[in-house]
Amino acid sequence: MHAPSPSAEEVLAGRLAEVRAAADGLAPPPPVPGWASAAALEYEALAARIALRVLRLRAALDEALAVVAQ
Amino acid sequence: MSGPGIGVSGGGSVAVDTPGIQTAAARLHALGSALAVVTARLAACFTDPALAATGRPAVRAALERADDEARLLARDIDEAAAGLRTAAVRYGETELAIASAQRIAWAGGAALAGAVTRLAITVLGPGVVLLPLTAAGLLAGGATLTTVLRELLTTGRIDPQTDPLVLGGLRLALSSLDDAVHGFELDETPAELLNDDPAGPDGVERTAAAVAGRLPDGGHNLALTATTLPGTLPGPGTLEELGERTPSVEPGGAQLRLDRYPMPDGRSRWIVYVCGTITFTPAATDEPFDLRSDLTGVAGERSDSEAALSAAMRRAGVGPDDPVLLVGHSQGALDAVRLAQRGDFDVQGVVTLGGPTGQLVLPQHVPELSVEHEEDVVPVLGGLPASGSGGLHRLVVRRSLYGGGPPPGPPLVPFAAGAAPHALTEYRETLAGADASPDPRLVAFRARMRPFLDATDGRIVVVRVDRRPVSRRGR
Repeated sequence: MHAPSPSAEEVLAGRLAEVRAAADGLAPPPPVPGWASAAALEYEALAARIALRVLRLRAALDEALAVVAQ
Repeated sequence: MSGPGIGVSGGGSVAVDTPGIQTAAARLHALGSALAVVTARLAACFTDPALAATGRPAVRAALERADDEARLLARDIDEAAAGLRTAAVRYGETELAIASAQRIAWAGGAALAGAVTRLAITVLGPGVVLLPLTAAGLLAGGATLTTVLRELLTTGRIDPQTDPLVLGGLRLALSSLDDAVHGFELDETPAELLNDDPAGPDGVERTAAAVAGRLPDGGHNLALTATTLPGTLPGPGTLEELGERTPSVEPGGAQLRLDRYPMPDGRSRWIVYVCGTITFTPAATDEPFDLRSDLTGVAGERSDSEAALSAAMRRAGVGPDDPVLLVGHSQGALDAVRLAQRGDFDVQGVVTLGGPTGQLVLPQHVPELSVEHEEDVVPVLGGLPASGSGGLHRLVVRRSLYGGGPPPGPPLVPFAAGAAPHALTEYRETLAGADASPDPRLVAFRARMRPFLDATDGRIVVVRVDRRPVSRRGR
């Protein structure tokens, strides 16, 4: 007896779950203490934006998982 | 950014890697690597037949939104890495400005103290000179005691000779001695306050010459014993290997190593390695790599160890048109830079390890890589690094061995760390960091040295040089 083949949605959901697990490993860079130059401030702003982008990527992957599951 | 644990300065701009910058750079790199895994797995979703099999455009659209977010994140990571490099450069520029301001403040203070002493002597008589000397002694003693107590209380160690704060003060004090003398003579000029001139009256060079002149000499010749080792070897390949091939200090052992690589046009390419100080005895022994050569080299005259280097190169057959790369540790670094300054040979590169050479400027066509440890006292003895374009020409790789913490070793033992930060073995490790560094200035230096590093069919000549008394009988 063979187990029934997974559906396309199940296959895709499995693949997406792997992507989402990898996204959990994305750690935003820390701020650099003791800086006071304009370049450092620009870097700090970018670091904050990166942290936001990581959250947005995870949300997009969650949304894709939800769409596949519908 | 530089390799792990090292900072790079010189070469037309300044970049200093602080631990904070290094941490941020490492985390950015890790984030980029983790994102690469995400995007690779996401790409696999797009190519999986299951996606087409679903037949649902909404699924593809959701995946594309996630893919867009991943691309934006990758772009921001790249931008942040570039911003980090810019911030490091600005940080370095600020550090350079602070160092310059410190030097001017010390020079001004020294000149003022000298002038006040002179005026007090004029008004109150010669006996008053004891007052500033006593004050200076008390200040130095107080600073030493404070440092020792601070080290004891914070680390349980007594190693002021490896304390970067102490070494920084020593460097400033050495560079300000001539300003104190000029202040005493009431002829200190604004230019002297702004720029340190080691070759000027009462500068580091003249002072070293005066001290060297007090050491016994007695007259001597140099006797060379050259030995050609069997077999051939390839070029060093890396900067680290240059350090590996530099002779270690060994009393009675070879001080020089000359590797000769044949060139297609009949000339030879040479890499010449020079060891450091072998004896610190003030007496004139048969060892030319001694204290007297240290002082004479700093003074700018041709020391016995530099004369030994030059003589060994001529004896080995280094021609005037043969390309030469000089590599020296400590006193050997001083000899290498002095020899390159004189222009007797076609020196196409100099690598110095822990040498007192910061104030020595090489011709613009000779690339120079200087490696210094922040806890090493020897580079400090050369005074403040040269300023202006000459100083910027010198590419400096710096490394802190202890990262601001105490040196390893037993507590409460005075000077337990000894001169470990000056050891050739430590400098070899730092060179390995310089090999791994993607810093564009180091990349360019390695590229210029590539014909030496990748040379083939080398023959090794090791040379021992001894002083011999001059015969009084004649021939």
